[in-house]
Amino acid sequence: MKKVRILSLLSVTALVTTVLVSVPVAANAAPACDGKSPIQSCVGATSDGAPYAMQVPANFNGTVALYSHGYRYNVDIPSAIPLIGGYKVTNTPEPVPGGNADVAKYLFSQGVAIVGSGFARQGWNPDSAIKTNVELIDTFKKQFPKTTKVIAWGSSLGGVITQGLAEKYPNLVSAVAPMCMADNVEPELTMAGDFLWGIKVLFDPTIKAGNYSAGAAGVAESYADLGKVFTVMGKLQAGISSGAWPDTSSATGKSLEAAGVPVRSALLLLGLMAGLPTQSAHFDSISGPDGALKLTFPLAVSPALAVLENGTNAAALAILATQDVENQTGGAIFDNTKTNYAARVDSERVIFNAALSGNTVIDAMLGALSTANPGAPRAVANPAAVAKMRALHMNTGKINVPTVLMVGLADPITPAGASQRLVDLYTEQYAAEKAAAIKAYQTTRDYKTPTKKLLMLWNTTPANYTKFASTGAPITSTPAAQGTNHCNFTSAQLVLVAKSLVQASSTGKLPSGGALNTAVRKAGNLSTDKGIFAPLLKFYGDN
Amino acid sequence: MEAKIMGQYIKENFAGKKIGLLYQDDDFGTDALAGFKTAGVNFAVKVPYASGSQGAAAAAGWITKFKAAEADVVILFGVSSATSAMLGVAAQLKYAPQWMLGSVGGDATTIKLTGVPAGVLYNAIGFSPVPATTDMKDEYVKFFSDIYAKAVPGSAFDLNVLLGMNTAFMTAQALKAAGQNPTRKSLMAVIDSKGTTFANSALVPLGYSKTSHVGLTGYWVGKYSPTGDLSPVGGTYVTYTTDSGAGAVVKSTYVRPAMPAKGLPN
Repeated sequence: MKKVRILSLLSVTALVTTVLVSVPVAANAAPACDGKSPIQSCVGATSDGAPYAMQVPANFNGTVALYSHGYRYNVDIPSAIPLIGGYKVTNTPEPVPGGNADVAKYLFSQGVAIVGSGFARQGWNPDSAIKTNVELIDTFKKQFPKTTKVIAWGSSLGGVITQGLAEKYPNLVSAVAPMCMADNVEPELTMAGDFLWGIKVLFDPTIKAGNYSAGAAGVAESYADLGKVFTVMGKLQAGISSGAWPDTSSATGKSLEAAGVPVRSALLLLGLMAGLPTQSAHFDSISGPDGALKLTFPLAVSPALAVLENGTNAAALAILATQDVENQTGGAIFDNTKTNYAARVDSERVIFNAALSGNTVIDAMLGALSTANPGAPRAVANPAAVAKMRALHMNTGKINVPTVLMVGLADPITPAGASQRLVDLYTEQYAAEKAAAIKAYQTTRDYKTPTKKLLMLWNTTPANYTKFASTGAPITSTPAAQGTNHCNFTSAQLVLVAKSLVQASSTGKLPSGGALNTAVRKAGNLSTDKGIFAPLLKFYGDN
Repeated sequence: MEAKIMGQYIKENFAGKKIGLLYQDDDFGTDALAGFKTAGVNFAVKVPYASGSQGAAAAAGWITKFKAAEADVVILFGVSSATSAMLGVAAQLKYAPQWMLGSVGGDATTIKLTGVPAGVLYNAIGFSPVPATTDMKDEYVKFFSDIYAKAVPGSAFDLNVLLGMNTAFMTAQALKAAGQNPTRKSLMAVIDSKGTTFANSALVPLGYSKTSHVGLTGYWVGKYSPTGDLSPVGGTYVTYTTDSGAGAVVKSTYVRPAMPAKGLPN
């Protein structure tokens, strides 16, 4: 497996989602529409300067689908930086996920219009984006008075924005679909911070991994971190085969290496501490090549390769989102001074014992990463910055309107646990609604079963998918497996979500029963199994 | 439980000898360490191995440590592939302490499948809860082996087969006792209340109750033949039983239920 091969697979483009329309229009003016048929296109900008795009079919039935795009970096990325270099900040609107023509075609066929904002500010932006969406809905309704229903959906950070819109303005939306939804800012950046901290303290202590300087200096520091982290990941990739630790390793890392700790075990431990999935685009942690490594590869090696692939994918977002939120809050936001990493991996050390090289090695690694080791200094946050971060928009998880969630079980950037949290909260919410209905029945003698308002679509990974060359080397040139990578959905899956939203906006009920099961089966690699439980982000176990 | 019984056997038969231990460095091994500690065994050397790391190269390193500690008795408390690697390399290096194998790692069939001749097991001490698979005087072994010979002609009747058939035999009794429409709850209730009385081939008491599903609660001690068959030391089964906690290891007086007529569960 060559370095260039694995790096070529990275899905950072999934974050910087495909743009659809270019919009040069003055803020707060009425939409400029082309009047064409069968699809009329309108562009404009909300009062905050955020450009938007609308597309309205001639058979418009009064329902509009508002899409919120995912996280886009808030700074330009120099071309010299690997993987993501050359990115320019953009606020081009995106009215359907990734400009997916199949999705737009389906919605138009149903007489549904589409609309999306590019948002005025990129980076972590739910506070401003929710306001933008509220204004955009009003603008659309004024332009198209026939409008009766608004369905809202979004991917990644757009999922947070969508859920936030439904929580704060339930009367504005009929049904929503937060897809591959990020968790709130603190749990999300805790995951990022934990992994980056581990990479720093073991493999390259010159990485800042947060606490960036203000302004342009901080941006430059984040660029430097990107280069260093990607370099370390490349060295780790080589080290998984050779056993060698990166030459940039810290004294703590070097002492572990001298003690015979395999670098693959150290990398895996960092992934498990942070809560990264142990399945990735090309590594299922189940399959092995024919021959002597048939059992050993999945048992001892594959989980580390999965963390490498997932961790590299997540690193750019981890660095740039941390820098962005620190810039918004005025200081360091990641603090692990009280994090008990040994407790974090209490279950995982049993499950992945072989890949972690046994209890003796695990204890040595956890000892090296403990607060008792001055060679692994913990990150200290700025309390004022943390307070400001916590004042940013936070979703409560309340389900107000019919809601469809969809997420890959091995999404490395917005882990499935973020959606699981809403499933868990809704279980409590529904139980309370049911109890209230029973209580009401005791006085009215008219029992009204509460309507189920949540449909969880798990994007599952195949039973096994790692492929091997005749030499036994894993093949990483194939497309990412379903259920892995970030927001890695097929058109069929997105159309299923769109159909569910259209139905729910019309009837007030989400699809269920046989019709749902058939649709789910046809879409492929989806499951509504209530027995699936995705682990919550590690943050929730700490707090 | 097994480690406690092994510990008792060591105290009774290898007092004053230097004892070495190879163990899997996970919960399996952690439990073993706890059992040996309860039994009061002091080791001259303890060598952990990470699951999946066992192989010829690793085994050479293990042997170096046991040799350095001048171990007289070496306990292999791991999986059969670790036993296989250890005994195979030891045979090549002519390293021959008294081997003692845990039941999990003493599976001769698996060891032979790794390409190591069964002869490396010769004279190693082993532990088993069920009769020797070659003991055709035992009514369960005879009955099960006859069925197996008809069902899978030409296939060896080994410990894996015996334990598998024994488990199926007990499961059938549990299902029958749970009635015509068993549920998970009714099945568990039957196992809790009647599990200890189920007919089965084991020579040791069964541990089933509302608080424990530990299953087999003891072992007899044997030695391996040149063909890898385990037979009781002294020619008769002497079984030991204990619990998973701090309880003493005692010789068992358990008398197992007779084979039901025609082998059909009562």
